[in-house]
Formats: sequence, C-alpha cells, structure tokens
Amino acid sequence: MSEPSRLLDDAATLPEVARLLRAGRSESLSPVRRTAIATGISAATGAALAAGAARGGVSAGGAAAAGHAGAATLWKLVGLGVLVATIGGGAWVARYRDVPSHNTLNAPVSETAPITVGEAASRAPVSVAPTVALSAVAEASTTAAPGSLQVPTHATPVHPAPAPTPQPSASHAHQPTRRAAAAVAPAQDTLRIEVAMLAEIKRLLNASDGAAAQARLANYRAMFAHGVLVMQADVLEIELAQHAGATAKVRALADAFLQRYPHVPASERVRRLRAPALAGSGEVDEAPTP
Amino acid sequence: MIILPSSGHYWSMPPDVMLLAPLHAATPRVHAMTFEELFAEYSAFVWRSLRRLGLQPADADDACQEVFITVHRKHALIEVGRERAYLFGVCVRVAAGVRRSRRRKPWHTPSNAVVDESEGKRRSTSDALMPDAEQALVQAQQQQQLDAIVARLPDELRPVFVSYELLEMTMQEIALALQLPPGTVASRLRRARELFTAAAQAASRREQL
Repeated sequence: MSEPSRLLDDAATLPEVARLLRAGRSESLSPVRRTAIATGISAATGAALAAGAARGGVSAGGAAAAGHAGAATLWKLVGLGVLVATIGGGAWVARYRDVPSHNTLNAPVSETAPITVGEAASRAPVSVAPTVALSAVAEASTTAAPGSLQVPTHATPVHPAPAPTPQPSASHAHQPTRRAAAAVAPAQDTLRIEVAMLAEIKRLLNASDGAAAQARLANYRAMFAHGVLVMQADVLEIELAQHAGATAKVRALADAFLQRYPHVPASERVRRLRAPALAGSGEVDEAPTP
Repeated sequence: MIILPSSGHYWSMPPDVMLLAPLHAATPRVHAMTFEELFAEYSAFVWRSLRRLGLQPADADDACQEVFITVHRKHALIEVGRERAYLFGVCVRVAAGVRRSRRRKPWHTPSNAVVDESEGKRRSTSDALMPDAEQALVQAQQQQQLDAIVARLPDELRPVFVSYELLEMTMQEIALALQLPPGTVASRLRRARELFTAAAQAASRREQL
C-alpha cells in the first residue's frame, strides 16, 4: 500500500481547504516558548536541557566551547556589563527611568545602551569577567538560528576596564538591578540571560558548590525579581536548601512552592525534595497532589 | 537489528517484520538518541502536535513539558527510528487528558486570537517578530478556523487527520503511534478528509454571505 498524496500536495484540493491546512502547518514553536519549556522540564527532571540548548547554539556558531562554559561566559558578560555601566552610565539612566520594572520582556530597550549600576555591581562576579562588550550578546542573539540559544564566541574586546569606582553623587546609584537587566538586552536576550544564570546555578549545584550557587541565585533574584523563570529559580532554591541540609528550610520553601504552583510539572519534583524533610519530622504529606 | 522495508510494500510485510522496520529508512540511525537530543530534535514537533490536537498555546506548553517528562522516564524504551511515532502517541494521550481536565471550559474559546494575561507577555515577544501584523492576524484567524473544524472531527479520526495532513507523518508512523492496523488508518484518513473538506467548504460559504 502506497502513501496517498496529502491534500496540500494534491492539485485537486479546494483552495479553502488548502488555505486552512497551510495555516495549520505554519504555526511553530517560538524560541521563547521552547526555552521556557526546556527550563520547566529541566526543573522537573534534572536533565540539563537549558544548558544543552545553549550548547547547541554554541556549536551552531562554530565554537568549541562547552555548554556550561557558554553559560558561565554569559554570566561573566552580565557581570562585565554591570562593570562597564559603572564607568559609562549616568545620563542614560534617565532614558530608562520609566521602564516598568515588573515586565522586563516588554521593556523598550536598546541593544547597546549602557546600564545603570545597582547592587549587582558589588554582587556580580566582575573580578573574573573577561573584557568583552555586552553588545556582543545582543548581536549574537540576532544572528542566532531560531530555537537556539547562542552565546557569543567572538566577543568584541574592549579596552581594559579600570577598577569600578563608586558614584556617590549619582542619584540613580541604587536603581533596581532588574531595570539594569532590562536595559542590557532586548526581550529574548533577557530570557537568554535568565536561562544562562539558572543553568550556571544548576551546574554549581551539581558540582556541590553550594555557596557559589547560592550567591548566583541571590544575583538572579536581584536582577529578575519578576522574571519569566522565577518558578524554576524557586525549585533550585529548594534544591540548594536540601544540599545544605537545611531540612526546615526545604520544607518551608516546598510548602510555599506547592501552595503557589500545585499543578505544574515541577510540583512532583518539589514533592520528592520535600519528602525527606517530612520524613525527618514524622509528619504526613498534606500538600495538594495533582 | 534493522530491516529496511522495500519502497511501497510496507503494508504487505508480515507484522513482525513491519515492527522491525525503521520509520525513516532514508536516514537510518544506529544509536538511540539521548533525552537531550530528543528534545532538541522533536520539541517543535511535539508542541505543534499538541496545538493541532486542540490545545491552547499555554496548555500546549504545559502538555509539552508533560510529554517530555514522560519521555524522560521511558526514553530507554524508544526504538531507534521510531521516536516521532512514539512521541505522537504520547501527545495524543496527554492532549486527551488535558481536554478532559478542561471539560468545564469550551474546548476552544472563541477569542483564541486574544491571549490571556499570562500568555500576553510571551506572545507579545513573538508578535514583535512578525513582519506583518495584518498577515499575522489573518493567519491566526485561519488557524482558529482550522482548529474549530478539527475539533469537530470525531475523536477517532482527529489524530489520524492531524498527523497525516498537518504533521506530515507517514501512514506507517501513524499506525505505530496509534497502534492501529494500516487499513484502519487509511479508512479513518479517508473519512476524516471527507468531513474536513465539507466543513471547510461550509465555513467558506458562511464567510461569503
């Protein structure tokens, strides 16, 4: 039995039928959705999908860097961006003063705009950051293939940056760091940064470097208090607490998570993380189950 | 062991041989894909399958995660060359579960083109990438019309029609995914096409009035 020709390939198919079928075939999974889905699956299964996606993007760009290295590089770029902004920021801040801090995805941003400096300047790992321009991140993202996460591999070097100097006179010196993040890159880049930061936290956690992972998570919270991937960050925080042996904290965080998200795919993983804490206290699991 | 089917004679094979035949004979692989490779290769296919099986975009996102979480548990059981069929089979089951859980709500809200608040943030980003807003609107309306027609197909015909006409799967893959005899797949496809064509014509006539 041979395959019948499909309606769209059949010249006898009515135009109105063909039009509908073409519309059905044209819909595709956007990179933003794909990344969010990957991160959710990673949180639920522990698989390194987000890092894997970044790895794919790097290899597509011809680089030999590993995925985790790519995520780490992006993290360093974020840190350096803050450093660069320390020097070149100032007047640009006014331009972004009206950006809603709760909606980084829709914020009107510029790819090359310097960013303001907030608390992240002291938190970001600037001491290990290479001298590269943040614009390279945006540039790389605009040339990335759909569905891929691309970390720039040929970042543009800039002049060696002097040590960051405090700006006590600047009235905007303590602008929210998430606004700075919004100014770093357009919407998709913001999500890429979120993904890279969470991937780095996961990598550190897997490497049993809880302190560094905790510091990265604090940075993520500061930069993306209302980020797209906050739920995944919550799961990571529970894992970090479990890694640190803080049973009470695991239980408190897990309860709060399950209260907020009782029926998401990550809930099952959170219940598994919570189970030892409950067993230790001899209590019965009363969390909502799907 | 992989047995390559001779072109056009697949359905004449004995069942045990048919089950051993790879579904992508043109590019046979000899090693199983890792979970990460499966996601990279088939995430878009899974999401589109779920959408065409009647899930709203936000539901398709969640269901896509559910499909891959299932796959994560069982991916060692997926046979080489049959990944797409396996995934579609999971999609059909997951989509049916989501629809059951949405029983109290309309299967498709009339305002499919209008996204809810939680969807808005992500959709606005993808909308910004559309070259032509008017074209995007027309496309969204056509997709909505398509979904409405597909939703009215009988449950046993819908997966066959969607997988063959919209996802471009082979009859062989569909038979495996839905665990149906080849003849049943062919007859269901035929009936589904008749119903779909009639419904599309009726919708077109209504538009012209």
